[in-house]
Amino acid sequence: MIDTKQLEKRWFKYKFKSYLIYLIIFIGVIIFILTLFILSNIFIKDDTPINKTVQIPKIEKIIVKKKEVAKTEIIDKNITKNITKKIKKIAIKKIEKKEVVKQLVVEPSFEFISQIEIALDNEEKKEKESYRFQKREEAREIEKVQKKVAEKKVTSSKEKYQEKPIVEVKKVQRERKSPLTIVRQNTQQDIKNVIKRFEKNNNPALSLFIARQYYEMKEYKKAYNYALTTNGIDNDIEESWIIFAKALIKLDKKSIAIKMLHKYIAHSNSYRAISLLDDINSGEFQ
Amino acid sequence: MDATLFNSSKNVFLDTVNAKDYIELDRISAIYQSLKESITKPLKMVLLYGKPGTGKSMFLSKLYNDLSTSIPVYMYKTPIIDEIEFFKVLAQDMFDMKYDDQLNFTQFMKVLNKSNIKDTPIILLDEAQLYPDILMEKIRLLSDTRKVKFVITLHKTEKEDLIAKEHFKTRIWESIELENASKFELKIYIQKKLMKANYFDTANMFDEKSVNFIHKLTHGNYRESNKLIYTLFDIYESYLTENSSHKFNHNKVSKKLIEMAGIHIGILND
Repeated sequence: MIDTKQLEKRWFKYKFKSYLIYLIIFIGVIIFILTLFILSNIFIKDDTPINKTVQIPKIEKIIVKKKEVAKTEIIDKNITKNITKKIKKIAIKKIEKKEVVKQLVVEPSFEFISQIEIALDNEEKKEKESYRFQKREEAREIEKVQKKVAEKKVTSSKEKYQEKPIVEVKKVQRERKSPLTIVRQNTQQDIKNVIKRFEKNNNPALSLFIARQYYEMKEYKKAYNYALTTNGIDNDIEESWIIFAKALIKLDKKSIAIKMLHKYIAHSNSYRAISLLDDINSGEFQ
Repeated sequence: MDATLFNSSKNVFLDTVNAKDYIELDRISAIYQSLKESITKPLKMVLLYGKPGTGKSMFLSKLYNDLSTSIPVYMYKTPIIDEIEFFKVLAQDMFDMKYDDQLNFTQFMKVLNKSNIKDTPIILLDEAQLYPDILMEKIRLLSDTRKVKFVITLHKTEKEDLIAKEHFKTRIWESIELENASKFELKIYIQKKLMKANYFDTANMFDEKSVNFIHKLTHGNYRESNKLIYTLFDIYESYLTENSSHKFNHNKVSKKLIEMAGIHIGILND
């Protein structure tokens, strides 16, 4: 006679063991798939322009380190060219990939700039019109006062009516200041929008705009990064090199800025670059 | 179905060597016929070899059973390892002589040469791999006299290539290898074995799927299959004795119970 209960227990143990292998294989496959998924996600993230902008400070770090070691390799034209070429290639590849995948050809849009310009123009026109209207009003009032003065024959009253328009002109001038502040507030949002656009299409015109804006906002590190990115995409944009050099000066990297300008001038013979170099050397630009 | 039926069915698969329990399968029958024909030829030795549990002893037993009525056949299931004892037993059986004193090989050869035997006696030696080499050499010399024939069975193991042994290589005139059963042969074997004992209900429980699974576990080895099926019926019997007949299907053998039997005999590890 066999102890069936004991044997059943052994059978359950055996079954569990036999299924355990499949369970381990299944879990292994799941882990493998998840790992692949996570890795692919990381890879895709690395591919996005957001991370690319993060990578730029690394280049900066390299430059700073090499400066400390007193090597001029960073400024070496070949290296900069290589870096810029690589960045250029990456950018081109990304654009090509995106085009192949979605067939969505995203061209840089300067619509917002034109909108800003139109808005500014409109504001200026309105201001001019209101200014003209006020002038006319003032002229009318002056005429009225002159008439009254003529009627009353009081010569000293001229001073009175002359004070009034001066006050009103001041008012007009104050009113003209307010739309400018509105434009600046919008610029912050505009830069964000431009950054988003740039991350999508890597257009050097946009990165140059961002660099310019940041420079104007005295955010020199950002300006430097975007100028460097612009140079990486297109090596022949004069303004980008100018902003790049100016930002370096503002970041207390005068020697690098000078060397960079020398190299750029040798390459492009840019008048603006020569002028900036003179200003830097003479201490006019600090 | 009651416990008695399973009890009787399990006893069919008891590991015994009995010519009456021999199951005729096509391939095995052909091999057996070939062996019988070899006996009639003027052979010195016939070698029957195969892995343990392939039916060599059963073959030898069947041969003894079939030939003993017509010619002098002597079968030794257990090896007689002592040389003097071996020749003494042989002389007693062959010549019906009782030797109180020791009988060595030279003395036995003298007796053999003097004897007037009409039919050449056939000596069947099971488990010949257990005989000492020196005794096997003397058995060879005996077979060279052509006054006696030997049919010996050997275990074929992976480590030991017995066919290559000198005393077999030059003198064996016929060697027959026995192999494990195929899936189909195993099914026929199980069903024939049960039906021979009139246990049709239990014989019908073994369908192709269950037999295939048994074959997977035993690789068609007759001894292993007998052990497994014996234990299987033992489990059935135990369930019925415990009034747990609801735990199994009465119409066919379940995989679970085969696995339980496999665990019990140790061919599956829990």
